[in-house]
Formats: sequence, C-alpha cells, structure tokens
Amino acid sequence: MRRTRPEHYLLLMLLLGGLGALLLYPIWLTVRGGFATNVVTGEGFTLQHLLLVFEDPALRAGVVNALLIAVATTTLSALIGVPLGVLSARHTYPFKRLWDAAILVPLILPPFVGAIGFKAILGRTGALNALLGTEMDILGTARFWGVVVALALHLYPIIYLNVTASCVNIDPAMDEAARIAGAGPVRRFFSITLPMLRPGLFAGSSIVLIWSFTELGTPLVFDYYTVSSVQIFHGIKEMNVSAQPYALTVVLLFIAIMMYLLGKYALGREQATSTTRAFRGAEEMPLRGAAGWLVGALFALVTLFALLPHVGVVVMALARPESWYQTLLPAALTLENFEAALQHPLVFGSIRNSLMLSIAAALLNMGLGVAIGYIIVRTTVRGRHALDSLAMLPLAVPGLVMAFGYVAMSLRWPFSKGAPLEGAVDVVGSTPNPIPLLIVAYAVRRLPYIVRATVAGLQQVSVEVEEAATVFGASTMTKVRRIIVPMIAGNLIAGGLLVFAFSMLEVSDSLILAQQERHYPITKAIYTLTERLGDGTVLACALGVWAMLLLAVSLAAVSSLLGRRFGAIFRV
Amino acid sequence: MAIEIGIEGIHKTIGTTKIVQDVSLRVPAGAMTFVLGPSGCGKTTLLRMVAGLTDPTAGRIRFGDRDVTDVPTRQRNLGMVFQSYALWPHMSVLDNVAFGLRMRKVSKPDRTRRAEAMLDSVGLTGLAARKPAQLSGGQQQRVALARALVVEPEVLLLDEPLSNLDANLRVQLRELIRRLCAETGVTAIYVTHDQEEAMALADEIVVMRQGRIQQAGSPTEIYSRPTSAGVAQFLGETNLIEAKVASVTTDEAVLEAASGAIRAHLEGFQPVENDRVLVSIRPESIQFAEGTGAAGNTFEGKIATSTRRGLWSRLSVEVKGGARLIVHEPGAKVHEPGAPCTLTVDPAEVVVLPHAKVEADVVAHASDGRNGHAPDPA
Repeated sequence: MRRTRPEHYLLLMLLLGGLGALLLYPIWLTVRGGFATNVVTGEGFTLQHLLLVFEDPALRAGVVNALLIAVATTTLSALIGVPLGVLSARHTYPFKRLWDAAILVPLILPPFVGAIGFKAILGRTGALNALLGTEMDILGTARFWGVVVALALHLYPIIYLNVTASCVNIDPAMDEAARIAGAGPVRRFFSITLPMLRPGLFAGSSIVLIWSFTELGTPLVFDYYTVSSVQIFHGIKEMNVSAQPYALTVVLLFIAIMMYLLGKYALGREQATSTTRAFRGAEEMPLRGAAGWLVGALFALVTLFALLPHVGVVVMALARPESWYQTLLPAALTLENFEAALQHPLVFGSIRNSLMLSIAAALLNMGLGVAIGYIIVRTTVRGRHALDSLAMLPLAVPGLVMAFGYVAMSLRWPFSKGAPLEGAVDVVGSTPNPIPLLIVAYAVRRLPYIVRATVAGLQQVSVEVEEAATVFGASTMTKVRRIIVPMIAGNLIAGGLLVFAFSMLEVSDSLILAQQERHYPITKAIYTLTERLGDGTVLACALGVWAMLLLAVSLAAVSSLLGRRFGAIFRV
Repeated sequence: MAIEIGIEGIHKTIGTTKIVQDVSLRVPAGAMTFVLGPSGCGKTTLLRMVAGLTDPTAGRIRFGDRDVTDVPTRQRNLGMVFQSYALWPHMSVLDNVAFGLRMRKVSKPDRTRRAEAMLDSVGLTGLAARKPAQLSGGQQQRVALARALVVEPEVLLLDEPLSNLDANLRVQLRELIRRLCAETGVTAIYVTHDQEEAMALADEIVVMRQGRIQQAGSPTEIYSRPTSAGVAQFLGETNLIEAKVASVTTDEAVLEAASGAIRAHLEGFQPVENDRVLVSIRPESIQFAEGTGAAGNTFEGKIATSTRRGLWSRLSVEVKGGARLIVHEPGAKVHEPGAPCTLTVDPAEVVVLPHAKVEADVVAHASDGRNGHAPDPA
C-alpha cells in the first residue's frame, strides 16, 4: 500500500529543491549565458551568440564533426553489439560464460586511457609500423576514425547489454512461429528478431549517441580539435569575457536532448510489446561443433580488438622510458614505472583526490538514492513523477554541459563577488576551490544509476515488511535504517560502487573543473602527463593501469552483487 | 492428400529428467487427435518434437512415408497455433497471416488474396490492417488460426490454443476449429489439459501421464472403458471403489466391496479370484431404484448432500461401509439430506481396473474436470 503523509511532501520538496539547485540551475545558467547580451552578469537577450556558432566555420565544423562522430560510433557499436547480443541471448557455445563476461570488459576501461594505447600501437613510431616496417601516419591522417573506433570499441557493450535484455523478453514462440511458417535463420533475424529488438536497440543507441556526441577525453588525446566538446574545453578560460562557449554548449545540449527524445519516444516504442505474455522463458539453443567455436572466436576477436589499446597502455607502463620507439614491443621492461608513478607528486595527489572525491560522491548518491527511491516507489505524493524524471535527466544532459554549467554557477549568484557564498566554490579564479563542485558533479552525473538500483531493490521488498516494523513501533527513520536499507543493501552497495568506479575515471568534469595541479583527479593527471615530454606518457600509462585495476576490482564487486541485473543499469 | 503421422519410440531426456518416454503413436490422416494430460506430462514436448522445435533424444517421426526426424522445421510444411498465439506485434494482421505464403514464394497479389480469404473464413473480415495489439484475445486467436491454416499445411499442430480465453469464446472457437479442420481435411494434433475440449472435438484421444501414453482410443472408449484409475479420473468425475474379486467368469466378475457385492461386466482387464481391484462407476451411470435394482447391483444409503446444477443435480450419497458415492441425477427433483435411498447400476457400466494408488493431482482434476474448465496449475 502506498501512503501520503506530510513528511513525504517535505522530503519531496527538499529533494526537488536540491536537484533543482544542483542540476537545473547550472543548466539554466548555461542556457541563459548563451542568450545574454551582458556576458559578465548574464543579463539581456540576444540570438547573436547562437547565430555566431553557425556562422563561424570552425565552430560549425565542430558541431558537424561531433554529429559525424556520434553517428559513426553508434553505427559501428550496433554492428558489433547487435549480432553478439542476439547470439549470446539465443545460444550456448563453448566457454560461453567466459566470453559473455569478457565482452563487457571494454565498457569499464575508459576510451580516454585506451586512446593513449591506440597512439602507442598505431602512431608513426608505434608497434604496427614497426611490425610492418612502414612509417604510416595512420592517426595523423585518420584522427576522426581513430576517435570513432576507440569510442565504438568502448561503447558497444551498452548496445550488447540492451539487446540481450530485449532478446530474453521476446516470447520464443515468435521465432518458432516463423520457423513453422518456413523462414530461414537470416530471414527470421531481419523480419522477426530485429524489429522486435527495436526498443532495446534504440534505448542503447541513444545512450551511445549522446555519449559519443559530447565525448571530450578521446578527441583530446587523439589531438582531434575541430569538435565542439574540445572547443568548449578550450573556451572555459574565456568564460568571464566571452559568450561563445555558452552558446556552443547550448547548441550541444539542444542536440543531445533531441537525440534522447528521439530514442525514447519517436522510434521503436509503439507496437513493440508482445500482445500476450510468453509462456516459456527463452531457451538457449546449443551451437554444436564448428559453429559454436566460430561464435566463440568472434567474441574473442572483438574482445581482443577492444582490449588491444589497453594492452598497449599496460605494455607502455611496463616499458623503460624511451625504450618503446619504432619497435614491436619495448626493448626493456620494468616495474619501476608503477613505483615511480606513485612517488610522483602529481600522480599520488591525483589518486588521493580521486579516491576522496569518488567516495564522497558515492556516499552522497547512496543517501539521495534511498530518499528518491523511497518517494518514487513507496509514496503517492504528487510530484514524485517529476522527481523521477529529474533524477533521470543526467542521462540526457551530457557531462560536458553539466561541467560547463558548474563553471557558470561558480561565476554567478550565490558564488559571485559580493554574494553570500563568495569564494565557497571557484573554478577559474586565482585561488580556485573546485572540490565541492567536483563531488556534486560526480554525484549528479551518476544519479540515474543509483536511483535505478534502489528503485529496483525497493520494488522487490514487500511493503508488508515495512508495515510490520511500523506495527511494532518503529519510527520512519528507524524503519529506513533498520529495515529498508539493510534489505536493499545489495542494490545500494552495487549502485554506490558503480558511482565510485565511474567517478574514478570521470573525464569531462575532471578536465574542466580542476584547473590547478593540487586539485587534479586521476584523469586530468593522465591527460596532463600525456602532454608532457620525456617520461610523461609512461607515467600516464602507469597511472592508467593503477586506475584500471581499481576500476576492475570495484566493477567485479558490482557484477557479483547484481548478477544478471547488471545490464539493467545501462538502459534508458 | 492428408497424411498419417507416425511417432515411433520417441524419447526426450534433458539432463536426467525423462520428459517423454518411449512414445509410439499413429496419428490417423485427416483426423483430429488430442493429446490430453495434466501439466508437465510431456504432451507439449511431444508436440514440439513433431514440429521439429525440439530434437528427440531417440526415436523417429514420419509424415506419411517421409521420415522427417532430421528435417528442419521450416521444411516440414506445418501450421501451428501457439498457446501465446505468438503473433508478431510489429506486423499487421494481414502480414502475420501472409508471412508463411511469402516464405513459400507466393506472389504478392496471390498471397494478399489468400490471406484475406482466410481472414474472412475465420470471421475477421475488415481487420487485415490492424496490429495484433489492437485486437481482442478471441480475435488474436482467430488470426493465429488463420496464419496456421492459410499455408494449407499437411499437419496442423495446436498447443493449448484456447487456454487464454474465457468460457464462451472457448466454445465458439472450438466450433470454428472443428469446422475449418473438417473443411481442409488436415491431420491435426491438438494438445490440451482440458478434457471437455477433447471430448467435444477429438476423433482420437491419447492420454499422457509422466511422459508415457496411458491410453489411446476414441473419446467414448476412453471415457466409458478406461484402462486405469488415472485415466478414469482424468476424464471427468468418477467413483473409485476398492474391492476384492469374489468370483470371475469370462465376461463377468462379482466383487466384494464395503458397500456390498458389485457385479461387473469384464472387458480388457481380466482379474483373478481374490485380486484387489478398483471399480470405476461414472456418476451418471448410477440411478435411484424403486425396490431392488437390476441384477442385484444395489447400494443402500442416505443422501448426504445435494447440489442443484441447472437441469441436473449432483448428489453425494453415503452408502454402507461409510464410502460416499457421487450421483448425477437428471431433472429437478429435490432430495432432503438424510433421506434413505437405494441406488442401482448396470453391470455393463461398472469398469474393473487394476489396483493402483490414487494420486492426489488426478483427484484434483477429477473433482473439477467434468463440470468446468480445470485450471492449469502451471
């Protein structure tokens, strides 16, 4: 039974107010700035800045390139993710469990780190040229495709997870009916399976589309600068004097929201549900003999390709400085880099910063998650749907836009000069203090995942269990502490770990909000090191390996807590 | 044109679970054969093996002279109606029905014409452009039927096709299925747990239980001459009485039960003297007797309960020895509980069965089976 009580309204108001201030306000400031005549105060109204974005050939090219990257990345991800997803949902093959797990690994490794490995392998002095004895400048001539391939090899698991989840929900009789009718496997895939997969496919695709459209780290590392995200990144320093970064961000936000709405409402939602419930769960048909091994090999090949850049990072981290140059493998290997990295003040400081920021973001989100989940699942207060939508909003709003909004917020009331909270947070000033903003930014970005996780948990806990606690005299707080939190602990911890893991390797917020070395999180340190000559790249790789290890451990914990529900987190 | 289906020594084992065990069956050409049994008896698995959707562990399946055991499903020329209908939600009704024709490379105008004609004959004229989600359950079922029959299959398979519908629609669609199958002369296998459906439609009934065939025969044969207590109970309500054989001749036995002596006509099962047996007497075979009943087959007792069921009454009569007999009495006569009465039964209506433990789930079906639709525990 759902109930409405005054304290539910109070909690709802608090949450709406908090999310309003930390999520909507920065977005509003960004949008406002894009239309303001006065850049410093953000007042007045003009369409001038927006028009300039489309008039300036470089900015226009940036938007076009961002769109091209998004479309190419999504297409490539779907080409990889859909066949693998259908195969995995429908069939068994040798070492299936191993392959099904391995295929997901690239998702947890940031393309930003992988890009460094890409360069080591594909660069003019890299391993591939050494192997072939050539001097092709692959990345110099094909930076665009470098970005696309690196992103697609990172993001295809999102499509794969959505496809497998949709596939499992299709009544197997749908496919059998087509077999009875005389359709062969190819025909069945295109006439029955693919159309029925549409909702899942579009849900996954819209995430990949928005993600790659606004990706900042990968183009940066590939030195691909004619793309909106990088242009905004380089414009941050001018935010006090120029409206152009604002306007560019507004354009990006608008396109991203269109993509989200397209994925959610326009495409593939109608008619896609089965008219009757399935009578049997989907069975996995064994692929025997050569077919099974072939499928296994396909999985292995994709995983291998996707992991190759990261292998490059590991090898680079193992190389003696300057020893991996125009050779297939480094001339000399050493473990010293890992030690050296930890002793480097920038590296050590960044690990400490990231740990602190990520743990704080995870804890903040776990609290928010329980409160929001409770309101959504257990109460009937008016406005809970608004809260639900608000909590999901970060899926549609690119991290880059949010980060930009936080910078804008640090320049405006209540943090501007003479305002009550002057100096509480600051990003681009001479004595910056971005820590609170970084925590909030990390938390808000991953809020949808933790809300998903707690809502799922609460829906599985019978209300009677809570009512029993009330009957025996527990107050609301006691009930939350003693009954609800312990019962959804699995989901909550999984969600928290996920927030932690993603925050550790968060790129946009980190690159934009941390402007001084002592505030650098891991990703900004990696980026800064790659830009540095000498031992920089090697140290960056060593740091990347440390970060990947941390990430792998926390995600292994998440997946063991969530099991097969792991995929549900990556759905719109 | 119609073909006979031969199922020869079929086994299906998954892991250590024997789902279907040594089933052999001839499904007569052009007739409708029902496979009847409780949930989990292996009947759907048997059907799926005929369809080629599940591979048998051992045994052969023949369509006419053709061994189809290793023929892929799509080359078996089948029509099938699924329990969930399995209509493709993204296709219109017309596209759903015409799909099989498209696979058979029928030209577009031809297949549209044939699909529309088929939709007419299932009573869905004018709904061709709709999507399945815009149809009611009964209409969806009609589409599923049209889709199965439009390809003029050699074999029609129906897997609990009516289990999703309410009682009135079930009767309507039952008639439709009967009519269409008779018109096309297709060889049909119909799987259900609903014995009423089977009695109403079947030319042949195969009763399955725990992966094996218990009895096969015409509906009348199965109903009036069951060969086991399980079959007797599964097909409608029956009175099972424990008894001992007092004397036997070639075609008659005298049995001693707690309620007194019972004479029974023997057919098939031949007990010997002193055997413990079960006696099955259908409730509608028992009559109220004035004085002594036919050939001494009488039970003295008193009315325990009496329930009106429309044009007949269901009575429970406590007889000598404490057992209760269920009696179905036509007409609207009122019996007062406690009133003494004498019951009688024709020896030809008394079936002698080998003694067996009466199983609980069979009883559950029997108590509900005859008068309504037994809910599927699955």
